[in-house]
Amino acid sequence: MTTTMDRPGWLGLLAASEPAELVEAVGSRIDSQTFTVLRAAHTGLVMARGRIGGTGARFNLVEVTVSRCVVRSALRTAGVGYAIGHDLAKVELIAKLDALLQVPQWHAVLEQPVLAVLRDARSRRHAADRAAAESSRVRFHELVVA
Amino acid sequence: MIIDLNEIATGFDDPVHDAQRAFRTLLDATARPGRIGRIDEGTIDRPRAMSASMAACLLVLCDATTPVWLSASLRRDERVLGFIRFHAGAPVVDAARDAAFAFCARSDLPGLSLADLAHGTDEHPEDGATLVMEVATLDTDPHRDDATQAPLALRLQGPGIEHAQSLTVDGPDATFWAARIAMQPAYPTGIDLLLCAGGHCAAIPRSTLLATRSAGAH
Repeated sequence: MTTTMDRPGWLGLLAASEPAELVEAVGSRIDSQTFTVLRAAHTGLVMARGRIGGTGARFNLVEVTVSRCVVRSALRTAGVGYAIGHDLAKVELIAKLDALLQVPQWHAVLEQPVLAVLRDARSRRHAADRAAAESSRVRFHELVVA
Repeated sequence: MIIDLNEIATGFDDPVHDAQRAFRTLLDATARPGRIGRIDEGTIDRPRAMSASMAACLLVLCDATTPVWLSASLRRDERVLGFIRFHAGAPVVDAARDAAFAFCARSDLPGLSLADLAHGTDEHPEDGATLVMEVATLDTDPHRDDATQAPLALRLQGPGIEHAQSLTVDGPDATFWAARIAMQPAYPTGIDLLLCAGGHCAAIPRSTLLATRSAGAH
């Protein structure tokens, strides 16, 4: 039994997924559905802002390339797709999935083969990143000065 | 405000090409004041409260840098507000004077006052607003209105018109046109008008010298 994810949760998961993983997980599951494009996929720039140490004054860090798309399913639910990068096919697929995931029956259909698979992939990726970073960690508190 | 994306009108069918065509139509209409341009009503999905040409004006001319003012019935309409926010991203302002573009529904024409809108200044005439208004009919035939006095016959002269152009408008009353004519000496400040009737549109830019037909005939 998996927990039902909230919408920001699945949007974040889909946005962070690798395009190949996403396409493979979805397969032909949503091919039967038709969508109206409300805002065609396109790419723009978003200003990412930061705070030094997470507490300082806000400053403009860098402009990030972001793609987005909005579609409406035949079930009259609208889905949005936002992701870093310029992969237009990916954000369109995310928007379609988001539109369907808001329908309980479709959420049930997509939860295991898509969301769960992507969650696992993300966990594996994070674990690999952590392991790679761990090998170069310097433990300052172990350097004992005589 | 939360936009109801599940119900929102989709705008132009082909956002790039339909918008380019509509822009060209508005450009031609403005360059030839009083001539009627056509917007294909089938290519634009819009809120019911807006005609095709008014929706086209909105989508083609307005964006995040152009504050928009709406007449009372449009201002109340959630679908109009959502449509503007989603497709144009234009801020909707409450004070008409702050608007770069003002949109007026046909039912709100009686209360419409040009004095409320920004006219620009001699230093910055470009700050003058553009008023987009819905009228019942537009007609370039000067003889059509002989039977009734309701549609007002206008005579246009000035840049973009070789001799004179007739335009018959069933929309704002004579007081409105008198106010428009009274603004003419203040050019280059003033207000540009875009008249919409269903899929038809015509422009009366501030550079056009206007006369109501009775005044022009004598």
